[in-house]
Amino acid sequence: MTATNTMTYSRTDEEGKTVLRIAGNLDAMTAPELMPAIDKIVSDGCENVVVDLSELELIDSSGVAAIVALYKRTHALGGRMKVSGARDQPLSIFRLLRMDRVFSL
Amino acid sequence: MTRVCPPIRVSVPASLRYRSVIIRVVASACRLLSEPEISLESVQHEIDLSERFDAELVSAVSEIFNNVVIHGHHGGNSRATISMRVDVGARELRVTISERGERFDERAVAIRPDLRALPEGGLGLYIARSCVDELEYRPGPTNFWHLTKRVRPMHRFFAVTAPARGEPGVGDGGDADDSDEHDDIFED
Repeated sequence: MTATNTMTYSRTDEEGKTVLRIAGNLDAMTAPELMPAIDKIVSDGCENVVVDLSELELIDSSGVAAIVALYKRTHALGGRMKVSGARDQPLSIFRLLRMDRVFSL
Repeated sequence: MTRVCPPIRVSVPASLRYRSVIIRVVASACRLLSEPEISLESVQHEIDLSERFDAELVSAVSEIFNNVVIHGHHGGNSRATISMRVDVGARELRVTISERGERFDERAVAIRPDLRALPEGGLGLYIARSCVDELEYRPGPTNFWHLTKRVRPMHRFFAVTAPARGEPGVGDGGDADDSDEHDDIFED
């Protein structure tokens, strides 16, 4: 578990699938930095979204809110979103919030 | 509570930028808990449990720190201070966060949010409550958050060799060294 204040993300689009990879800490401080990427995925009308959290070390309620926002907005437009690779503390939080099934973890 | 070391204290500005300092201190304090008895078969399991303990306590403290900064100090006030005290016991950690920001209205947050609705807010306090054994808030001129997390008997059950038939098992009240007779050593 790291305790840095950093978060990085990248987006790839291949064969109709959009993958958003998030690494580091997704929390109250860094979650706002992710919002432009979420807005773009939604505005691009991406219908098949995968959020790859295999390199995510820490998440808090603000980070969860960002992921949930993407999920809801994608679904509202008829698309689907799932989360992959969550482990350790992030996986514990998703399980605690019973979102592991929603996100197909 | 029998402390294994003097209280650990740290103070940081009331800004999210300093949350990482708080997290590091808490994570390090978790390592000071007494080493459990470990059988060869259970080493990996014990490591998993230890990491879960750390992750849950870090999650709880993170949420409370967020709460204090965002609600108590309107997003952050680097001139204000948030103090944390960590008491390390043989089988529990007590974290006390104190600050003099705006009082938090616990009634404004649902104790048990409707998780089926996938809420995007109001989860912080729920996460904090769920990740520790005790969470207490005492508002005042100085507001106090008390968080206590204990090593659960189940953790220890998997960490020791099974008792022979007829012997008392783990969690049967064998914590003879759990008295508070030395509690005054590290009192203020």
